[in-house]
Amino acid sequence: MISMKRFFKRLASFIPSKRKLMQLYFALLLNANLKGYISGTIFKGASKSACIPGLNCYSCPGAVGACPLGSIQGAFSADKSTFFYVGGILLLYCIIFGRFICGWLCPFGFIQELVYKIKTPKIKKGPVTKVLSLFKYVVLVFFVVIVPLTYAFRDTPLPAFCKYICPAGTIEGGLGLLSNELNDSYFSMLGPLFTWKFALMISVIVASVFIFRMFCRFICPLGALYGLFNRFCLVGVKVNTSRCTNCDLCVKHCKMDISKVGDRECIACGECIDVCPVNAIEWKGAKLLKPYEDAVSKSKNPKKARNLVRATVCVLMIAALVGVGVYTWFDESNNLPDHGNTVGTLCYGEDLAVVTKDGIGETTVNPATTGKITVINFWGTWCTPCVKELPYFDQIATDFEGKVNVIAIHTNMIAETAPEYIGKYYPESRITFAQDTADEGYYAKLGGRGTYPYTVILDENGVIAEIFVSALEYEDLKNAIEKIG
Amino acid sequence: MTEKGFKLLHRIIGILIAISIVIAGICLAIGCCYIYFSDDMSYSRIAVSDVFAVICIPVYACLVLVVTGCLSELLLPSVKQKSKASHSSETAVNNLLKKRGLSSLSEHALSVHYREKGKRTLNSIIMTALTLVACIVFFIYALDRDNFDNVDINGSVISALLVLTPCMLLPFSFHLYSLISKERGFKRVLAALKSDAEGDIASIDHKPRFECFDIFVSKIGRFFENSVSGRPLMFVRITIVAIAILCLVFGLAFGGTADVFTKASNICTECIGLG
Repeated sequence: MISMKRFFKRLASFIPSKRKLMQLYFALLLNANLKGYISGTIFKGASKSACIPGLNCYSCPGAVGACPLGSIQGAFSADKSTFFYVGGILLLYCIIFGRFICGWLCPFGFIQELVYKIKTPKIKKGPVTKVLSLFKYVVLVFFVVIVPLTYAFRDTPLPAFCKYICPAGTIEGGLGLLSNELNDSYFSMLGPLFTWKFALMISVIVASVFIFRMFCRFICPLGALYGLFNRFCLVGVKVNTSRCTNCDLCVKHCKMDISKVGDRECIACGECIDVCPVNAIEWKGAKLLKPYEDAVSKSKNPKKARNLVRATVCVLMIAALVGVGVYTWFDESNNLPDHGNTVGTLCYGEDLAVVTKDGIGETTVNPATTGKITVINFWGTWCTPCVKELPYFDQIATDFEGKVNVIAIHTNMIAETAPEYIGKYYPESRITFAQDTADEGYYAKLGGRGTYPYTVILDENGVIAEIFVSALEYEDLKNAIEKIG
Repeated sequence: MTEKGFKLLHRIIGILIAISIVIAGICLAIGCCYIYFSDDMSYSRIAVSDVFAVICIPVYACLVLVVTGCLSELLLPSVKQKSKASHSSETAVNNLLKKRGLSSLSEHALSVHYREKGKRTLNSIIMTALTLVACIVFFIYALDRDNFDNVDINGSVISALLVLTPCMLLPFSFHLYSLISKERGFKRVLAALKSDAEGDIASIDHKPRFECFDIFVSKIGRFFENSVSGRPLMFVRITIVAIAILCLVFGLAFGGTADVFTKASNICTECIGLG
């Protein structure tokens, strides 16, 4: 056993480093929507239009910004301006920070580093891990570019990376939503995809215990993209070649698969700065801070001055965190109606604007008062499963003509894409297309909690008979209709 | 207890934690698969609670071991790992060459140096060619619209992955080979340089096995020796920043935020692996 003095000394060594604190801070800042954790819904405020730098699922109940990877995949099937907007933000992140984001700001990198802290035998880097580090470029090209782009040409939005791979989405989005008891209905939609993604997520977490930042090194396409710009980015570490003695201590100490400091694999954690015996490694742009350093060293009490600056920065950062928390808590868009329609209750009636291939018309439709069995489907052109199941609704509208009314209600937010889509694929359809009211009001009234597609089936009296939160097949719809009438 | 004993204890605890984590991970994955593949069960909060309650024993064991490990780390004397910092062959060769200069090397050491350099260059050329071929093959597949079906999307993606796998494995395997051969090559150069410094030329393999090949690769090595890469860094930075700002302004001006907002503020269940 060790002495008490040593015990406390060792306990003090558990105090996290500046980088860990920064990672924790950004993980909290990017997931500051506390209300979402309570209500089991996601934030819908204006900040969701901005892409954040790290890998943080925008379907996480706490997320306050948009995931850059999800956004760029979605941008392929959206308007050109979206691609320019997301591309511009990503390029800025690339050229300013590069993989510094991975080392300091990414919440998922932080999770991996935490589990790597568990003391077990570790798998060290070598030629095999170096080759595997190239795999993330394959993931970037295949899952983030080729597949989403190919399907975008077919008017089917498909964020392949989010759908098939992203473990951050499974933990933050999937498990984050499922863990809330208010979302019990989501369990009904779990199937092979969830099973695959859950197993993959568990594999990544377990592997991260043994391999340092396993996901970042071998799979993360965002890291791959940032890494391409590491050489040019403005923030990061660099080697002063005039001082460097080529001792290789930096490369040997680094847990990433770097060949030299600052290359595409370097996450600019800065640990090599302390290791270098000749102080040859320094932060890029360190000269910019020289006036501050000079001013501090010239002051009467440099230590006190430095502490004062640090305290001010800390207070400002905490204020920013609290500010974001308060903003999300009181943001109007975050207020959900206490309860929407449930099965067995009379459906709310509302006049919704009918959408045709020519645009949003003057006529309206009230789904609750058709006098027939009514299938109300909430959809969006941006939503893969919605687009995929729409032909089944079309088939139902044809097969049960006269008996069943099918009303497909498009989300209000980007309703301008709907007429073009309808004109291209359903010009003669028997489906009545409509547009939701502002802020997806009708969807919320019918019990929608932010998930798409969402289908509600009413009987002839306008009473809700079935609610489906997942994508449907023709047989599901047919069985539900036959059950009612 | 001696230092050796503590080291052994730390190692045993580490191995036990590792085993328990792997078992816990496997159990969690199996639990999930069990619910999905079971005929008389489907996903529900109760089903998940029941199944995970049964398999939580390794998870608890893992947690207990992790806490034990933390306590042992706190309470028992730590064992300092001896750092095995040594130069890699590549650094050693570069340092030696920097120190001595190419002009002072013997003809033999120089030829070994150029031969290995040439081999490395040739390997990278082959690697590039293989990657290009793999990319072309895959792009030919990807460009065929019929290969990406709108109805069976999952099947189409799996088929594409099956085509991608060999396209990826070939350059990756060659890259692994070239990394290993590079390390071996540097070891050979290091041996040659050391022997050269000691004047022990006899210990080095004088006769190259494939003379024509060696001459060819040596020539490639000499050709690339003098190529200097001096990229105007600042110009690249300014250009990228300008392009990024232009894109951003264009995107903002024409309402590019709307789509991002829609995607980010609604949950596409399939996109997060739920549906």
